[in-house]
Amino acid sequence: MSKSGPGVTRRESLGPPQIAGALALGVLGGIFSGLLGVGGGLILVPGMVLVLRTRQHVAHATSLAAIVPTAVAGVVAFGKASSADWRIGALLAAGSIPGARIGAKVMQRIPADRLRVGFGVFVILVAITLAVTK
Amino acid sequence: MSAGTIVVAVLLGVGSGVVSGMLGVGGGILMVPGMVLLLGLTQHVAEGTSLLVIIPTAIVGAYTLWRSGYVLLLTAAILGGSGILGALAGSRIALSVPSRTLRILFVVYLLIMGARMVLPAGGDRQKAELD
Repeated sequence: MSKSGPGVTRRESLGPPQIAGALALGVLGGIFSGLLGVGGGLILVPGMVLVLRTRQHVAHATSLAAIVPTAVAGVVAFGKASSADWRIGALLAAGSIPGARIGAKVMQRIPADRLRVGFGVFVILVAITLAVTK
Repeated sequence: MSAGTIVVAVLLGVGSGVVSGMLGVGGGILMVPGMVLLLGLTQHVAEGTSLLVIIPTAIVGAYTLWRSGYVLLLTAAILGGSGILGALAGSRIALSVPSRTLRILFVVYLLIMGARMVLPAGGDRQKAELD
């Protein structure tokens, strides 16, 4: 998904309805992000595809850029309440940044549909574990 | 911090990084429950730490994709700017409820997201958008 992109950014045309849609989507994604400690991409990406008619890959890329300031605001709020562990965070980042590169490479060789269903089942199992654990 | 904690934290980072790279989802969906279940952090600290990790991860990802021409900068600026307001509201709510309540909210979020990935309707729609 990396080579065929150039030129896509030049086709950005935003009218008042799109701007209003993006503002609402950003606030919604931000609330999810701050409330749940996630990026909010799971709100932003489908939101952009459905509301702004953005293509999937462009929506994914754009959401990553939007997540940066959103997550900074969340960290400031959680950090003020001493609800962030900087050492654990550094260790996780040390693993997740190279991990994401590996994942992006593997993605190109695996059927995404089956992968998505498999991960969906895993997420549901995690949810159940989290609900029953003290 | 014990050696075991260090190893588990790095492995959790790798695992959530690989999944986010493969599926285009944020690492938070795995990192937060991982920190609670495997590292024994409270839901609040897990969420704050997750956001901390998301910052460098998203910067690296966004920069790579921006160079390939995939990022709509103006849209990202609008989403990010309003995202700040949303995040301040969301974290304020999070910090005002007990950890147990916050965990239940997270469970609901996981169930919805899991169901969305499993149900065929969501998959078909997403496949149709990939051109």
